[in-house]
Amino acid sequence: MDDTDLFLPLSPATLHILLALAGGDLHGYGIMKEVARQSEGQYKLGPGTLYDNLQKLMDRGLVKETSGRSKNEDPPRRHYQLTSFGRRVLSADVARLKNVIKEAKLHLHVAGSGKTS
Amino acid sequence: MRRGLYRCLIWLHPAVFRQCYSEEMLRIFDEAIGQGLLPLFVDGVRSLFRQWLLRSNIWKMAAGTVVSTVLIFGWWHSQESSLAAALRRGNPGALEEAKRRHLIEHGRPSDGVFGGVVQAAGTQTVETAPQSGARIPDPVDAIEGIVSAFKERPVVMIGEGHWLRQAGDFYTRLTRDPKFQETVQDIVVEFASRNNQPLLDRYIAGEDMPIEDVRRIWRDTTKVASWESPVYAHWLAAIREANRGLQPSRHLRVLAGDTPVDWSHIHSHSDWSALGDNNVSFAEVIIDKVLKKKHRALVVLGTNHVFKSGDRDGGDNTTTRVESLYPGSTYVVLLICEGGVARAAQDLLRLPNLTPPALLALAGTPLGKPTDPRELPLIKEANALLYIGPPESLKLALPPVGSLEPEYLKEVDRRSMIEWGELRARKFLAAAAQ
Repeated sequence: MDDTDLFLPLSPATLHILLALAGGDLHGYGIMKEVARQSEGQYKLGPGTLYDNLQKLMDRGLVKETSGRSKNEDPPRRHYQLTSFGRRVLSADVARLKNVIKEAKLHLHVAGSGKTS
Repeated sequence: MRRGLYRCLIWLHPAVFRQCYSEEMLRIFDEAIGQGLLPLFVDGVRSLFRQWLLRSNIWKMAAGTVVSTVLIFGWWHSQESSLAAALRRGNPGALEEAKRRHLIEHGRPSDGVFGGVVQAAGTQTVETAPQSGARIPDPVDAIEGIVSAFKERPVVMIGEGHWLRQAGDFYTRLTRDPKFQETVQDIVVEFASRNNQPLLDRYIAGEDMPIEDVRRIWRDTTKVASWESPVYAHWLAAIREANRGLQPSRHLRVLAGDTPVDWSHIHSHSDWSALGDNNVSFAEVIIDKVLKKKHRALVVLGTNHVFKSGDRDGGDNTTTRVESLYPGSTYVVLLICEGGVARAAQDLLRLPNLTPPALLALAGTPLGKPTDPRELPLIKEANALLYIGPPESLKLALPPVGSLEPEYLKEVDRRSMIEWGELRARKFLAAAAQ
C-alpha cells in the first residue's frame, strides 16, 4: 500500500484546501477565497472549518506554515504551503476521482442508453 | 457589537485552538463580513462544538467513564451471583471455587507490586493478580516509547540526573533515530541560556566556529560550571551531525532554555539572585517557541524542573507552568537514577524482561507506590519512567583532567564566590580543575 493511501479519500474540505494551496502559498483568507473561486461559489469554507482542517493537515505533514511572512501586512499573516507529501496525496486523490468519473460516465451512459432504446 | 460577539465565540473555544487561530479568525471575520454575517456565525458555532466535542478528548473521558461503570457493575454482579448460587446449591466444591475466585480477585496486596503468592484454604496456593485495576507494566524500547508519546502530547520532558554518561549516550541515540527526527522539531535544553541562542543556531546548523565561541553555549549559563560534563557537548555535536543528513526544513533546532545572563554584569549574589527562577524561562521557551508554533519538542531538564506536581518545595516548576496554560500538553518521563525515583521504582527494577533503554508507562500500573507516606506516588509525578541501566551502574561523565583553561577557572572561581560564597565548583569539577 502506498503511504498516500492512508489519507484517501480526502474529505471535501481537505480536497479544496489542498487544491487551493496547489497554486501557491496562501494565508487563511486567501485559501477561503481561492476555494470559493475554484468551486464557482458552490463550496464555501468558514474560518472555523478552515483552521480545524489546516491543523489536521499540518499534523499529518500535508501542509506546513511557511517561515516567510509578508512584510507588507501588519500584523504579518500566517501563510500555508503544500508539502511535497501533500502534493502526492492530492495527486493520488485526483487520480482516484478520475476513476470515479470514468466509471460514472460509463454507467450513466449505459443507463441512459437503456432508457432510450 | 457583531465583532464583539464573534470574539466571544472564539473565546469560548479550547485554549490551544484559540491561542493559535483567534487572531487569524478575527481578521478573516473583518474581511469577510461584507459577504454575510450568518454563515460566519454558523461556522463559528459549528467550530465551537467540533473543537470541544471531537478535538478536546472530552468525549473520550465521557466514554471511558460509561464503559468503566458498566464493567465494574458487571463484575460486581457476577461475583455476587456466583457466591449466592454456590450457597443456594449447598455445593461445597462450587463454594470453594467461588471463594477461590474471590481470593484471586481480592487477594491481599503482595509484597511485590506485580503480584505474588498467597496461602489460601490450608494447603492450597494460588497466584494473586496485581492489585485491582492494575496492570503489569510492559517495558518498551525507550526510543519507540518516546516517539509514540509525541502522538498524544507535543512536549515530552525528560527529568534527568545531570552528568550521567549513559543518559548522554541515550540522548545521542534518540537524536539519531529517523523516527524521532521525523517527529520532533525542537529540543529544549537546560544547559544553554537564551541570549546564546544565535550561537547555538549557528553551531547546530553546521557552521565552523572557534571552540571558544562554542564553549560559551554551555559555560555562560546561570548555573556555575554545571555543564562541563562532556555529555552535553557530545550531545550537541550529535545533533549537529544529525542535521547534516537532514533536509534544512527538517533540521532539529536546539532551543536554549535557561534565563539570559551576562556574567560581565554580575558582581554580587544579589545580582545573581535577580536573575530569578529559571523555570519561568524554560516555560516561556516551551510555550512561545514550541506550543504556539504547534511544534513538538523534547525537553531535557533536571528532575526537579519536570515533576508533574511542582518542585520539591511545593512551588511551580516548568511542567506546572506550561500545564497551567496548555493543559495536557506535556508527557513527563523520569530517569531512574540513584535517589528518590530509584527507591520508589524498586519493584520495577526487578522486572525480568527489563532491558535498557526501556520506557515504562505508569498509567494503570501499581508502580511507584511511595515507601515514604510523605512522598507522592510516582503516577502523580510522571507519565513514564526511563530505565537506562541499574541505578548503581550509572556513571558520571566528568570533564577530562586538565581540560579547563586557567583563565576560565579563574572566572569559575569568581562566579562560585558570587553564587555560593565558596569555591564549590572546584569540588565537582574534580581533576579537571587541577
